Amino acid sequence: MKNKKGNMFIYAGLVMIAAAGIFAGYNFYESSKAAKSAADVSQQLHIPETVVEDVPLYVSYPEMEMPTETVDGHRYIGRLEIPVLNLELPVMEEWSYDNFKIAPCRYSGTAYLNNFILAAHNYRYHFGTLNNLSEGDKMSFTDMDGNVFEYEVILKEVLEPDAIEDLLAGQWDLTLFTCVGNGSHRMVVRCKVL
Amino acid sequence: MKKFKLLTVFLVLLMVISLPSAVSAVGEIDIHKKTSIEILAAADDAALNGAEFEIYLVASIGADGTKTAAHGFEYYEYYVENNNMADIQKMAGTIESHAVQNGVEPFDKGKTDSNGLLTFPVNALEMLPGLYLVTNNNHIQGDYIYSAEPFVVIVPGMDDDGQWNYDVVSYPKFSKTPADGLYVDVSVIKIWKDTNHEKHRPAEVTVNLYKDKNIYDTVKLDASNSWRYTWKHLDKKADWSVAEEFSDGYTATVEKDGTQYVITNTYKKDTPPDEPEIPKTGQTWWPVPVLFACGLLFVVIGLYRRKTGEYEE
Repeated sequence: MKNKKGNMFIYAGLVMIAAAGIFAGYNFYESSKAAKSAADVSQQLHIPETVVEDVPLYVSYPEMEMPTETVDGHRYIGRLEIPVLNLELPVMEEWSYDNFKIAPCRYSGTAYLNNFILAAHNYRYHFGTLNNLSEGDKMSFTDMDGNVFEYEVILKEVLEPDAIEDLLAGQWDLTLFTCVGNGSHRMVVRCKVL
Repeated sequence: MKKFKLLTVFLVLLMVISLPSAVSAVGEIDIHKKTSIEILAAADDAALNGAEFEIYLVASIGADGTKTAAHGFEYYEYYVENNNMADIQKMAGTIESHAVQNGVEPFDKGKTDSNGLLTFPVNALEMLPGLYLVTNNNHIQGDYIYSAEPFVVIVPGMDDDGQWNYDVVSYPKFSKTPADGLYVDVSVIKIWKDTNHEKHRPAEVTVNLYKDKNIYDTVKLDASNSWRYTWKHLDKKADWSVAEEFSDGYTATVEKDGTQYVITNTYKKDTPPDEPEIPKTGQTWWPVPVLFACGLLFVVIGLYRRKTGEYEE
């Protein structure tokens, strides 16, 4: 009898370990899928190399909507590049939990009004490595008209889950955020435009 | 002493009685008096000969200066009643757009003479005090095409002496482009001013392109075309204008910058702002170490029990 019970424990234990493995495996799979989908989209975005007009539209009309291109049924507003983290990512116009699985998304604001907030999952190849950024690191965002906006990291902070006001507090030109740990707190990177 | 007091009271009373009529002698407008608007059309010191202008009655003026929107411009009733001339001037482009969109008939039209002068009324029998919108058509002279932005004029105007002037003179400001080349591009971009109310935005808006005030084309602006459009290869010599169809919940203003039209929609209802929702952007990892640790524990327990079980046997 005791043998059987012992075996049951062992089996149960092995099942749990296997479950842990499957869970971890799924997370890794989701992460690499996200990396791939972002890279795929990035390839398909047609961002002009040079800007056509003498005076870009956004300079005359900073309240305009950011122009978009539609790829696979989703609208993208441009490309974010962070050389220090080796990241080049397309950015979706609107956020949703489904959208986060494909690419980083705009949470609110625009590059033209210097109130730009971008968010992404903490996948390794989305915003998972934001913590490795330091003050002074540079990044750039290119919109679908080819206008380039350069930024510099000013500070990093970790915010409580309910700190909505702090997250949205308006004086930062560019904000990036993602979740740390198990999704409760947020890593927030604040940048100023150059 | 008593007489002195009495005299003072009498004088004060006299002043009080005469004061309002002194004000009203300047303040009241004679709403039956005929008015005129003279336009001097010139650019670079050259008089524009044969430039066409149209004039619309936007609002009539009461004796005390209150404005009442005229037929065809009832949409702007509230705006016109409650804003000063400087602010109404900013709306001239929008009001013109509304007139074109709704086929409002002009009050009068005319052409300048060889001195660049045109005095309204031309065909109308008489012109009375009111708020008028003055628009013009492209005018080709020499090597250039001249056009002036629409503007509003109020008659009577107040002159430097504080008197009402029932004959007003206007000097519209002209811009010019070279008349060579056959084609021009006309662009429209839509701007939304509705922070925290974006959910109320319509999925698309309809914009009409007018050639010489007749509808020429219709396009739909939406997020997929970035709320902007350019008509290419249009006849440079024609008069092009753009107007948007009504969007519920928003007021639209139209501004023109050369051939770039900017239509700004501002959210006007008094609804509470949308609640911001902050996404959770983390993968769920906590079950992994928990399951692993439990699993390991169970395996250990199991092994132990097997071992002790054997010994007991």
